[in-house]
Amino acid sequence: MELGYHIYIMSTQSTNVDATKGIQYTTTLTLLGLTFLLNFSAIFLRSRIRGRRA
Amino acid sequence: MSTNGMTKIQTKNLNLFYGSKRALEDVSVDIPGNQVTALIGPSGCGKSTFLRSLNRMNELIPDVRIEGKVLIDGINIYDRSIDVVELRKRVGMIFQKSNPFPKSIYENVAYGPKINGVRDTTTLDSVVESSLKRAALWEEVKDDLRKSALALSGGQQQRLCIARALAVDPKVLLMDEPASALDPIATAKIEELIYELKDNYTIVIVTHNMQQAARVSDFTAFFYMGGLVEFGETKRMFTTPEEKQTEDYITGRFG
Repeated sequence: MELGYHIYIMSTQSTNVDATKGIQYTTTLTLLGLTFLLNFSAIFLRSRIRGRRA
Repeated sequence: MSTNGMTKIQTKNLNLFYGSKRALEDVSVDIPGNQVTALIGPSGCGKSTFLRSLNRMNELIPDVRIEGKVLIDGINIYDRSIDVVELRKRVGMIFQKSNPFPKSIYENVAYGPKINGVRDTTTLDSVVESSLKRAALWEEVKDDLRKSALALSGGQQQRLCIARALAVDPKVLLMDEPASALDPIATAKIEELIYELKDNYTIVIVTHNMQQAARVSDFTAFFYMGGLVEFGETKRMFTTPEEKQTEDYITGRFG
């Protein structure tokens, strides 16, 4: 949530929005990376637990 | 330099350096709550730098070094334990150039609360309505909320940006020359709005326009070459300034 809000602030409250584009893209990439990482971890854990139970 | 009212923002010996260049020099001031404080001074005197230091936006500039303290409600915002994102939620900022998203009017205002975790559409609708009302824009756009924000006039876009800032419920509003790119009618609307908003928000505004500072602000701070020369009630500053430099600037002898 904080990363999303950080992107929002950088795009609306920065004196020079163009100058913070780098920060915005990097934060977006980090946010997407974390989302995928969490999802893949969940998929991996679920398949392992299912495998044990089967 | 202090005021008798309830202090909302306090700076103590604030120094700011861009590399080796000193942009702010020992600035100590008490900014009162629920009042409008205008920052005036010639170009490059440090007023915008001072404004940005109140929500740590200066940290985005490379080679910036900050010394001293900035206290908001008695808490030093430069303390290591301070969450910068949380701080910027409480301290909103509005600029000279309005920068609405290329989305609908509704989406522009609702985006902040949405990303803040508000999902309920009824709550979002009421936040959008109350923010647009507080920004004195509701009556003009209430039937066109799905229209692109970019189709609005310059003055309306600026008020939309103010509504967007208000939607996340800040306590302090920082305005960096919010009306300098607008025509006199739009400027008058923004000034009226600033006057109305001070009941609920502490407002700090940077302006190059002396008449505007005299019209909208309760307190004025005069900056010169990075230092705070004089701070006091606007009426007194514009009639009987204590410092010669302030008088010269206000009367247009330099700047």
